[in-house]
Order: sequence, then C-alpha cells, then structure tokens
Amino acid sequence: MKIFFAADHAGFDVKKVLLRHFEGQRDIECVDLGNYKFDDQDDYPTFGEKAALEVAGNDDAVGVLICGTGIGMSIVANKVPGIFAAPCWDEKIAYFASAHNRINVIALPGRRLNKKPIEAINIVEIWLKTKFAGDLPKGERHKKRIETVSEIDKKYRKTLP
Amino acid sequence: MKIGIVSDHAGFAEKAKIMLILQKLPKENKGLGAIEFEDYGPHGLNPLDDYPDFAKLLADKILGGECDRGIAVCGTGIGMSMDLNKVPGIRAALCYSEEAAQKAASHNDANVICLRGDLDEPEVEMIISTWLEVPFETAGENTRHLRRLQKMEKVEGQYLLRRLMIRLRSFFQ
Repeated sequence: MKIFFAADHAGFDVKKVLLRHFEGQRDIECVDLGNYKFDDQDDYPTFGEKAALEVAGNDDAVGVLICGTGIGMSIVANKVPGIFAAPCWDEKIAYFASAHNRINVIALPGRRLNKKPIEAINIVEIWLKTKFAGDLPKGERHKKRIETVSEIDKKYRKTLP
Repeated sequence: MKIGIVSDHAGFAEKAKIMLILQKLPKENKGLGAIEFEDYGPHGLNPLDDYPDFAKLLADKILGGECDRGIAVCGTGIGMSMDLNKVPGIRAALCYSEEAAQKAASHNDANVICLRGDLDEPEVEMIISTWLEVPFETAGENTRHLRRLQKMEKVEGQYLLRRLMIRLRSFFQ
C-alpha cells in the first residue's frame, strides 16, 4: 500500500515523525508530497490537493494530511472527486473513521499532536488497521450510507479519468 | 442570521440539546444580527435513517438561501462533514474542541459545523458560541486565510468546470 503524506507549516513536524515511523515498514511505500522545507507562509490547499489527486481512483493508496486543526485539509480534500476525508483527533475517532466511514484520507491536527507525536502514530496505525464494517456481515447500513455520499460526489463532479 | 440544524439517529438527542442552547443565546449577536434557527429534521427518532439524506437537505437549504449557516450532528461528525463538503459552496468543519471551533471560524470561514453525538452540554455550548462569535480574519497579515480559502475554491471550481465542459460537449454531439 502507498501512503501519501502532505502537510503545511503547522503539520511539518508531525509529518516528519510519521514518515520516520512508517518508512521501511513491510508492505508500505511512503511518499512525501511536501512541504519539503519549513515555510510558515505556505498554504494547506496546495499540499492537500496534491495528495488528494494521488489517492483519488487508486484503491491501494491512502493519504495522511496535516494542518493546524485538520479542518482545512479535510475540507479541501473532500472537494476532490473520489476522496473521503475527515479530521481525526484521537484513536477512537480514527477507529470509527475506518469502521463506519471508510475514509481514504485522514486529516490530523498538527498543533494538537505536536506535543504528543506518539499519538499521531497511534491514530494512523489504528486507522490503517481497522476494517470497514460495511464489508462485514450486518454492516450493510454503513455501505449504503457511503454509497450515498459517493452519489453526491458524482452529482457535482465528474470523477477523474 | 438563520441557522439550520440536522442530525441522524445518532445525533438526535444532541440536536435537542443544541436547540435548547440556541434558545438561550443572546438574541442579538455581534455583527450577526438576530439569531434564528430551524430544525430541518429528523423530527422523530428513526434508528434506520442515514446521515447523507439530512446532510443533503441542509446543503440544499443553505445554497437555496433559506438559512445562512448550519449545524449537523451524527455519531462522530465524520459522515456529515464528508458529505457536506462534497457540496460546492459548503465549508463544513468537524469541531471536536473549542480551539477547533475558533480556528474553523477565524481561519476556515466554516459555514457549517459538524458535531459528534456524545459531546456534553458545556462543550457544545462553548463550541457553538465560539463559532458564532469569532469573525473570519482577513485584515492585515491575516489575508493569508483569505488566500487559502481562494485556493480551496479553485480546487472546488476546477472539477465543476470540468463537469460543465463534459456536459456541454455531450449536448453538442
């Protein structure tokens, strides 16, 4: 699986910690999409869109985006067809984001996780490890809901070629 | 200013709490005028309802000008926020703390906030009043927030334009 990482200045340090942790892990290929150097004037949509475009339409790829609160990144990523993104601020939410919503892009609050980078690792680990309940017996309702979100996505945007 | 409120079954109880909080808010808010709100549903608890139906309803009301802003509640807030952000013109922020609400207003100019169903009352009250009271910062060095928003709108617009082109092409063929 490919993981695309992208962050603005507020997520710069957390991205570094995550890259160091996930690089070299079995079956995981890490791609850093920037920002490559710290620039406190850079803008989250630049990096958010880049990662979202890589993940869209690729079933074997996911994205990890980091900005100050995770909100800006989650909004911009969701604007790209085929992306399901949400801010995840703790492990419990990361679990549900996978189990109920099958998000393919996780948005992390850099300012909050800067102080405890270990938690950032745990959040991403749990999100990657948790299976979508819609694929399990009795999970049909989650699948139906996700399909409706896709329909809304398609209604406004043509999916990428 | 009018606020529309929706939820699914997992946010139904929280929605009732939120309406009580909105009733208690001072009627005149700084720069926002009188605050009104309307409950767009669900109007009864149905454990089988789906968040996308209510997300769509709220988005339509905002884009149609029937309300100015929205509050959407589901179990985690994730479903609502994903879904609402798919709609052009909507900036939905999943607010998990007061700080997140503050940034959602001042940096992201969020016109919708999404809340999870298990927030306790003081937290919700803090989040909602922060989001309503904090202005979007664009003056001085804060123009950077506007610049980021414009970049975001460009991302949003480019797919809409592409869709329009494809439609036009198929129309003339």
